[in-house]
Amino acid sequence: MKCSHTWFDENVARTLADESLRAVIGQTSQSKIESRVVATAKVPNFEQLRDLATQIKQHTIEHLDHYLERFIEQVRANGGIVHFAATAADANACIARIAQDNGLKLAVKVKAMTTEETGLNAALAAAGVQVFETDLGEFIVQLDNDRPSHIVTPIIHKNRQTIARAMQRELGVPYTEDPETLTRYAREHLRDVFRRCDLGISGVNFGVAETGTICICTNEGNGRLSTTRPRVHVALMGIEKVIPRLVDLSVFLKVLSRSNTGQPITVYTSLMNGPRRESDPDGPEQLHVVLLDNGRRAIQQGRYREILHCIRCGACLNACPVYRHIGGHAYDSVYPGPIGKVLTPLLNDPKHYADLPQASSLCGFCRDVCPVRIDIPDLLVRLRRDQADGKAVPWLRRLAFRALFWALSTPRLMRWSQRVLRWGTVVGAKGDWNSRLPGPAAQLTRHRDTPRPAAKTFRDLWQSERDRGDQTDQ
Amino acid sequence: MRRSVTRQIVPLPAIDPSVVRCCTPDVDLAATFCERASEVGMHVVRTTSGICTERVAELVGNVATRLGIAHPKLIIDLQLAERAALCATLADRATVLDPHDGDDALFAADIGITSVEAAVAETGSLVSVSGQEGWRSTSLLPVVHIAIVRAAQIVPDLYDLFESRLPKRIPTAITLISGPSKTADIEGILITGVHGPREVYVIVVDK
Ligand code: SF4
Repeated sequence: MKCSHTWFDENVARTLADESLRAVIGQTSQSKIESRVVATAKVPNFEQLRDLATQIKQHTIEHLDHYLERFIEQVRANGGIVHFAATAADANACIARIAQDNGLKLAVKVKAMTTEETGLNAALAAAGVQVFETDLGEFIVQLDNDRPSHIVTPIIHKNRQTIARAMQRELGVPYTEDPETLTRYAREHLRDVFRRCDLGISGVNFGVAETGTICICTNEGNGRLSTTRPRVHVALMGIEKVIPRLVDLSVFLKVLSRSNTGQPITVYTSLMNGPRRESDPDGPEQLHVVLLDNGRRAIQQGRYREILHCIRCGACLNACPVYRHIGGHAYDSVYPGPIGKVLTPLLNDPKHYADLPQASSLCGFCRDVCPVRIDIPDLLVRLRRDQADGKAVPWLRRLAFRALFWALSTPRLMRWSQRVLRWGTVVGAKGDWNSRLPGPAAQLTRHRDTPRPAAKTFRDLWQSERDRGDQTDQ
Repeated sequence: MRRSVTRQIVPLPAIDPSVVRCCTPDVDLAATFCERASEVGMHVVRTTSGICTERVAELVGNVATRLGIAHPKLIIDLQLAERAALCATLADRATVLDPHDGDDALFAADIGITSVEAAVAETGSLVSVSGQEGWRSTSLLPVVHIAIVRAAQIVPDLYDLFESRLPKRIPTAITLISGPSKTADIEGILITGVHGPREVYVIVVDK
């Protein structure tokens, strides 16, 4: 019962109109969800592994400071350099400074949500560093000046024709619709970059407190190249990524990729323990770990800390019926889908993103597939409640709900309002249905017909049954 | 009406191998590893140590023919026990580059032949570590990676790897390799060799 259209409404309308995009996103998500089912069924104790993963995360986030301290100590013991970034701007400035201090000019990047979150590419470009995305999808996004739409498969919204045109235009290669050849073009182009680069930037999937290990999971090999080839490796790590023990990795690695692509493990799992040592023939000379807060600490201290358990597997996106219809771009956020509906308003201006927690039917599929059992629907309901308390809800809707509350809790008023509504919806009605409600109520019939209150209410029927019963008894 | 958030203090759970292991030590580890490694897209060859160099040389020949390379350039892991024998067998069929020559050699190689630190039966993973004469690039830059795994190196599960199989002083880089380099970014179509090797061969040498 909203009267103004928000940016989100417009985004949704736009993506809903694109039938082919919807079909692609729907199919891809469905096949991933099916792969997940197959992969998890092969692991007899998968549910117990999820429990363990959940408990480890719960414990770690509860004692975040303790584990962060140990992690920092260990990274330093390994010869790494640790930096702290309270905000996105701090992180960008810090990494730009590392580049300037070392005279670094050419950066290769592994897909990392944290760098998307801080908008690192623009900051580095401003500092005179040329940045290449090296994940195939992100590379194409960068070539085509686009935005990623999924946290694991960023160009789920692009077809081979658009990709071919972008490569032809930007790389000067012949147009081809063969995905194999397109991939080869990217490989050749980036090989040259990998040979010349001097700065490698990655995120972190898991930071192990016990050993100071940085764990990165990739499939393409760009993660290995970007953290092996350049002189300096900078890892931008959200503070919630820390885990206590090396052996905990065996739990998380087992659930991470099975939950999304259905692989038992990603092709490459890289564990890095500091910069190259005397005895190492190759690898980066410097390793910097930039610990990013950017609102996480506030979340950790509040009522939504559960969302920090997220290991960014992407399963909830694939499962979400809303995401499957509107795709990632509609959310206008680094984190789309169910995880984004919770995380985005918490990390950013909640007013601007007020629609996101509402854009859910609370079906609970995201919770069912989440490897760390985050109760996303519950968090969404809490966010909605906070919005209502914080007056982020339009006055008309507030008024409507106040009236509803009153009517539902007063039997006489309830009976009376059913009658009034029955007659109030008579204009434009076809029998018991109305497809064109007037005024602010028009929102209710914008996408579907709305049933009118029945001519004979349940109470009426009940009463007449009772009356009849009384008669037969006599 | 408001529900209060109750916060339970959760202790750090113990990692019980009977819960965590997806592959137990009592199975035929070599067979399980071979099966899983093929499932993730690696080509597996089982052999006995006596004919290992022969098999590798044969494999190199076949791969080169298929890739259309007349005289392939190789990088051979300096830690590999059979390195000298391999070089001798391959002398007329291939050029063996020296990784000490740096990027020119590493980027030029068509095939990288390496040993492994360990292998994981559960996931079919090769475990490679950096260190003395152990280049991180040899299993990464060439189009084809050939790995030699000794059956005794195979551990049942990731749990066993992280719990007890890694060197005391943890190496700078530990890489779990489970298949050829893969992407499905373009329309969900699986393509190998996007950045890393397009083909991975694993030679499992039984005792
Ligand atoms: S919320 Fe759960 S399902 Fe969604 S990305 Fe995070 S870990 Fe995966």
